[in-house]
Amino acid sequence: MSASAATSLVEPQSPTELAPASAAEDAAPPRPAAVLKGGPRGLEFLIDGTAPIAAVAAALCTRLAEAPAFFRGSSVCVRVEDGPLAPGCLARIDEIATRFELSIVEVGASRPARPERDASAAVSAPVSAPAAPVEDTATPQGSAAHPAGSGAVAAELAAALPAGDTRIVVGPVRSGVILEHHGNLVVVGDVNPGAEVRAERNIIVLGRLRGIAHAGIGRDHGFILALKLEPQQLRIARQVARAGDADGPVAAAEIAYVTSNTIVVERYAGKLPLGLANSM
Amino acid sequence: MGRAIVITSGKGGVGKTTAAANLGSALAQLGKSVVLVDADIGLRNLDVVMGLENRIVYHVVDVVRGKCTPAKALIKDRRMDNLWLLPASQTDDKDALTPADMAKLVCELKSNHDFVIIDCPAGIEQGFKNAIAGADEAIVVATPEVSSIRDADRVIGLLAASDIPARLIVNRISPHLVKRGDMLSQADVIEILALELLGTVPLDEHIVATTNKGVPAVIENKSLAAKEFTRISRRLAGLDLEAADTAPGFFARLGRALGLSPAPTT
Repeated sequence: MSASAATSLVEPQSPTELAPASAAEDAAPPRPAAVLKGGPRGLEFLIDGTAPIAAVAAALCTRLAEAPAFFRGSSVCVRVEDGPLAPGCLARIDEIATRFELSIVEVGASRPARPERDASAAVSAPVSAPAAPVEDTATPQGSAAHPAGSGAVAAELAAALPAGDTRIVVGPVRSGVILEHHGNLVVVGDVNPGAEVRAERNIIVLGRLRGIAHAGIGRDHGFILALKLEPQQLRIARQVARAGDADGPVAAAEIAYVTSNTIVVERYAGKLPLGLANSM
Repeated sequence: MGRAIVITSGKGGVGKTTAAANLGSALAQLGKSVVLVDADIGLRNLDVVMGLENRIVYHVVDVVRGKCTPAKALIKDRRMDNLWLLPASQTDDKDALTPADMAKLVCELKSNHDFVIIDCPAGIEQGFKNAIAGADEAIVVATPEVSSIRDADRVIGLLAASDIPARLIVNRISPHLVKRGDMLSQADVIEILALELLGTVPLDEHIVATTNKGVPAVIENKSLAAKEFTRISRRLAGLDLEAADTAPGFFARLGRALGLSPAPTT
């Protein structure tokens, strides 16, 4: 499902969406509407969220056309500065990316300035901002990140993606980091003690889960699956369980889910327990 | 242009200052020109550990405020010609320095020296932000204790957020305690922190003695810990190109020689 997430971003563009943007086209933006940046994780499009769609498209096309062969096949992270992105803009960017044979692997707000990020990372209360340094890691497959400040982008994505969309994060998720997602959350790597992963649907950790995990937020079911389930605390929907003092390490992958108002943990036998498959 | 390396840990008392003093001295012994910068404003320590306390005239805040030039504030080590210390001030004004000040200062020092070693204060507040502001790379010091590892993990996350690559020193490993199962092993620490290992420094009484004397242990270079600090500094200077994780630490090698620890699985 996640592999198709990137392609499902393509939305038919309605003429009405374009109308206000082209009207504003003549106003020269004080800074470039779109900037291409190379990073260690691939190409980045820095989009000025306040710029009209046409200006963004023109800036991207101009830069990409300078060296189409050089960019071809790259993975792209789209970062929106001063969002929200105008409606339909994302579809336009995707269209351009497709034309230049680029694949968009991540969409999100641009990185905030360093001090701000440190400050937000220090907040321990559950926040809507997942202040995670790992979150902007380019994901290996199509997935969508929704950092804070990109409310409208998130809304647009939410409309474009199936309800249970999945976010893939490359770990380790370190102490003090709170990762939050409204769909399924997959962590490729460890979740360290002191870290917290939160999802409105399910959580899958391809590594050791040693922090706190909360699945099924605002719902009545969900599961947490980890290759090594050694959490400080598990929360699923409205239930809370903490690691028993006597629990020894288990070598196998385990799954935790709610049944008759209690969290049960059992060895993961290669398929989801009855009734959970629909919750993905 | 030199390299600026910040030595940090999150938790206090794990050996940041000792590591800074020893690595700085060991790099100087290798013929590199080194400046130690004490970024622990308000609680200066590095000058004491280096035995240079009574020579302080100017300090880092004086330099930032333009009261003197960086060159004038540097204290030359009396044992080595190519080792300098920029001491911290004792001011309790936590806003005496800003990250921008530090970045500028460190950049200036880098232009004249091979290594700028920054001793970071404990914690992740303003002092930490100042200390990492000018750093090109970081060394995270962790002791094999759960609290130290937890804090180191947090700090590694913050360093990654600032795009500063970090490597790890596991400090104060005691082979007896590890063997008895009372102490986390080097492998346990690395497993959680998932960071490249620069070296493992054993718990060593000699370090306590030399630190109190104001002589970095590497200058006498008798103790096991001093030898490990020297090895780490060679690796930092690019003289030993073997990667830390393929080269077993001292105790891994010792343990294997004695048949105590298993051979690496790689």
